[in-house]
Amino acid sequence: MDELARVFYNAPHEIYLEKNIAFYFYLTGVSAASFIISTLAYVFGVERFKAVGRIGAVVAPLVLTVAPIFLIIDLLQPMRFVHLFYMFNFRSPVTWGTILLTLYPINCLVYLFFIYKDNKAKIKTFGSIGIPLAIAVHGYTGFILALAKGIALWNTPLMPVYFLISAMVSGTALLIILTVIKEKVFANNALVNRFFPKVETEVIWELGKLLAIFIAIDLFVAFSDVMLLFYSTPENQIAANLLLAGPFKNMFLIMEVALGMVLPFIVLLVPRLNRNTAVLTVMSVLVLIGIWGMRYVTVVAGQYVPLM
Amino acid sequence: MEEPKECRRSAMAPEAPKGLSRKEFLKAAGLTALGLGFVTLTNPAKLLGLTAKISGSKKVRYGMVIDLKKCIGCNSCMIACKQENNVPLGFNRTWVKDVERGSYPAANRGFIPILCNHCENPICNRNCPVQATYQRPDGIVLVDYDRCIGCKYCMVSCPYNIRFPNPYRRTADKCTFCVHRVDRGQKPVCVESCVGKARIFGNILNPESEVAKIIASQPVHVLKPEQNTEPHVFYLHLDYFMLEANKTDPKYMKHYRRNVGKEMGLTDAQLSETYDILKDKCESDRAYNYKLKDNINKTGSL
Repeated sequence: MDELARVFYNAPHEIYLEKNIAFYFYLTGVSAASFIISTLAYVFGVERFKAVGRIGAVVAPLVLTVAPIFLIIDLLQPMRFVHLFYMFNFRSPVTWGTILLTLYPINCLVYLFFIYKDNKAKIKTFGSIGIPLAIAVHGYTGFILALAKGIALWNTPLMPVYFLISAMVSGTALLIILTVIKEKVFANNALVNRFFPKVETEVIWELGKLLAIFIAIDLFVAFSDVMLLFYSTPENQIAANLLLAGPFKNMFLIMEVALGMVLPFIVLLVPRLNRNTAVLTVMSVLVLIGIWGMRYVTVVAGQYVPLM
Repeated sequence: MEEPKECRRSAMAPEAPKGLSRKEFLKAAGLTALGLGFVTLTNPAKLLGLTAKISGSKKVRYGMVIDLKKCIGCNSCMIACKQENNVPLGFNRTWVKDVERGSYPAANRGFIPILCNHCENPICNRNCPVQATYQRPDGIVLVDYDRCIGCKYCMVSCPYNIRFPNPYRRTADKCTFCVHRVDRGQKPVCVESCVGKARIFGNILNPESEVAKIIASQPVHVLKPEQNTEPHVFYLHLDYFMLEANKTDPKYMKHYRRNVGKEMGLTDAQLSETYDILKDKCESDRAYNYKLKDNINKTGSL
């Protein structure tokens, strides 16, 4: 249509949800994934993950207490956030979020408390309750975007899946980095060692393998998403062009896909490199940056084209 | 709804059957009350918006018809709306988009006024977490400014990009169909100010009204029918290019202006300047607005 019609807008167009919201999505993702990895040891009984699971159990509530702050400061009237607690609309995913963001951190803290008390039965109970909660607390953010149905890039059933799997990727990467920091920097710190037992180096390598699996799934989901954008309505094709050829191409192709997924994935497959803690750490940092790119691109690129 | 039921249950508690202990009975009663309350509160069909619409019971449903052949693109609706509704600088409740097509001698220029469609099935209403957005029985979709927290979710939910954050009120804001005028029996100000009488407003359920007659007898179209929002702003003579142009990326606007301008013999500098001034004007208007707001907050006056 480029040659046939030209449009002149006399109304400015604005992008409403930006960094704050993207960062909130990022944090809930990390929290949910940390919790799920910690349940590997405490619910599914993989004994060798226990030491890492403790770090995960601490990260999950810590990050999730910070996350809603970004939501609240993004409100036009931050003090009115209390309205969310007594004015409900059960058709709105934001209301689901109010409930989940209240229940999930409480459950996380109870779970952490029983890990501290070493009460095996209670750990298992609250761990089991926590798994669906963790999936929901991050899955619902996918629905927030997917249910804004005017926006082609968001309105896809893949969105919650894409969000969950990239959460697992970023959560695993953060746990690798924290574990390495703990082992290298705080190895002789009595205070740290009292709560966090030593993590075997093999376990870090195993987390690397887990990371590779998650990245593979994430790559597949991202590929399916963009692939379908290309073969769908004109709005979807514009969205695909924004990501692959438009102003977001560097962030999407280089930051998210090349440096955040493909490179770490290849490195994690190389036999010698995936047993090198330093390389693993660098790759995890790349992955964390890449997932930030994914969150930002998804949130901002969706609103980039004016709808009317 | 939930509370009276619970009260009744607990009032019945002393008459508990002897087989059950008091604790067990209270537990069962509480659970039943909660369950019943939950079911009535969140009727699954209503929750998913699947309930059939009873249109027969309605007497009034406001709607608008815009005859695009009569629109001359004078923007008086936009200006009148800003005056009537005190719309802040840099934001619009309604605007007119220009669509140029072809080149001399076969060329045309069309205008398409955009405003809130006051959908029968509004996504903004469904997605508002605090029920600040509501729909009146006559179909007008409004924002309750005292409830709105400004989460901006409605602004991204609207498939027509109608909503905007009002920097003074600090809530979502949008076209109200000039509800204050409509309730007094007047027409919305954009309709009154339209020089070509392109905008026609009325009750679409009244077969005598002009709007209902046009909808019944002429080929009308709505924007984005695929969104299943049932818009109630109908366009007469809406053509393909008007819709197709909606999908054009504004970032390429400069490119378009350049192509046209070069044919007209304008230099690159002149062209980019025109574009940039327009763009900067919009942005500085907004910055000024927020600055003004901060000043008012600090000093208590302008």
